[in-house]
Amino acid sequence: MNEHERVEELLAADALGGLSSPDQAELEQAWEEHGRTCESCRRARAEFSEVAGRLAFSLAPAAVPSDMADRVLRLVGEPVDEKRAPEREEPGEGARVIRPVRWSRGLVAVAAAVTLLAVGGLGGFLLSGQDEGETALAAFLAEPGTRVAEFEGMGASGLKVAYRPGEDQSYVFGSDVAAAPAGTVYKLWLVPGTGAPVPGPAFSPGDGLLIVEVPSDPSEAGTMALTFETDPDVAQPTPPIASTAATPA
Amino acid sequence: VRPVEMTDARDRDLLRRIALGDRESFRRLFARYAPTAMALARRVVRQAHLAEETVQEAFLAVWKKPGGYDPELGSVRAWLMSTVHHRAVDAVRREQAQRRRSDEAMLDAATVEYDHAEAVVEEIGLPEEREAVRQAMGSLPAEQRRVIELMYFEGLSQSRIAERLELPLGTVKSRTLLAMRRLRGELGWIRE
Repeated sequence: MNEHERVEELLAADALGGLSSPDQAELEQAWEEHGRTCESCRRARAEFSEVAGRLAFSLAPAAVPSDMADRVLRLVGEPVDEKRAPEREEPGEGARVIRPVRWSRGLVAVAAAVTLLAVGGLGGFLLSGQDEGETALAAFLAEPGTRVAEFEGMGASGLKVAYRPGEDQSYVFGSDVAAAPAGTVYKLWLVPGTGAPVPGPAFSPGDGLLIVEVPSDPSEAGTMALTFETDPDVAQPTPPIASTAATPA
Repeated sequence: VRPVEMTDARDRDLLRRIALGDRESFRRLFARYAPTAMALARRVVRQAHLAEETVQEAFLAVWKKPGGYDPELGSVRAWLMSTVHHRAVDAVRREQAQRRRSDEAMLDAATVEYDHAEAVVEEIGLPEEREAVRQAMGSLPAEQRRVIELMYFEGLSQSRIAERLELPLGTVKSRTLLAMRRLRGELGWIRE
């Protein structure tokens, strides 16, 4: 086995995380003495790294807590309720420009632009990006029996809720939704005819379009409500109610 | 342009924006890849809380140091998953001495099925990627695939695999190299 082959063998195992400590030390030494300046070995390292990273995609994706991205940002002391970066570049090649669209029953071009901040009794699910939001909402709207109710008082391009009575899934969506007052976030509630309101996800709209999946059937309560809250984990709505939507069965 | 190539371009664009402090771009990258990262972490560490910690740490590192990505070494998604994988393997090796693996506590590798993803809507381009990787894995001879699975998805070193399979260490090493060469050919990634 020549030097290239020995390094290649070590690189293959290293990319997969399979080297024992002695072999790891051997690779480090061989890399310094040979690999770093060897085009063939550098190529092998890059290619094996790529292959190993992509093996993860043989697995089915798993559900992720809806507030996890914001938890990461909180760990570094970043505020999570700001909807824009201080500076934005023009999208690069391959990037997609999201523009507001008119909502319609046959909607096929929508995108998620939302930050889920917390989930309460209703839970909530962070859709996996713009295209996921498009796909999921368009598919939901296309199903027979889907109803769309508008939150009153949110303006012509305000929030709506799509639901199907009897199904534990609904979507709150809207275009160019106004930002919540400073220091607050939107908070969803299911308001039953009797009993206490059930807390749902809290969110801050981003640019353009917003989609929040709510794993609940709003027709069971009959009404959805929105409040502005300073604490996204609040257990009871803080008056006044900003808006309501009638969601009859 | 294939969807997965468009995904590459968008990912690099997101990383550039993250480097400028764009939180929304971070959230988009997270939303796109956290479900796969979580699946990988769970598969390796087999404990829900440890998997969550692993994914959280990996994405924290991305936010703090997006410049850690080197385009010379491949795609953003492969780099992200390698980041998660390294941390998961480190975690599982740290834990190995102290814990017993519990089938009740976490998914067992043998029961992981590919159709458990109803709750996760796929990003454009990723279904194609998943199919390509599964086909590449399926193209391996069974004995090579077993070595790769034990190493990558269970976090075992070549020495431990040799013990587990009662094979000479040299055989495990050669199977690893042959498998990786074949996967490289099947997945068709060539560094420019």
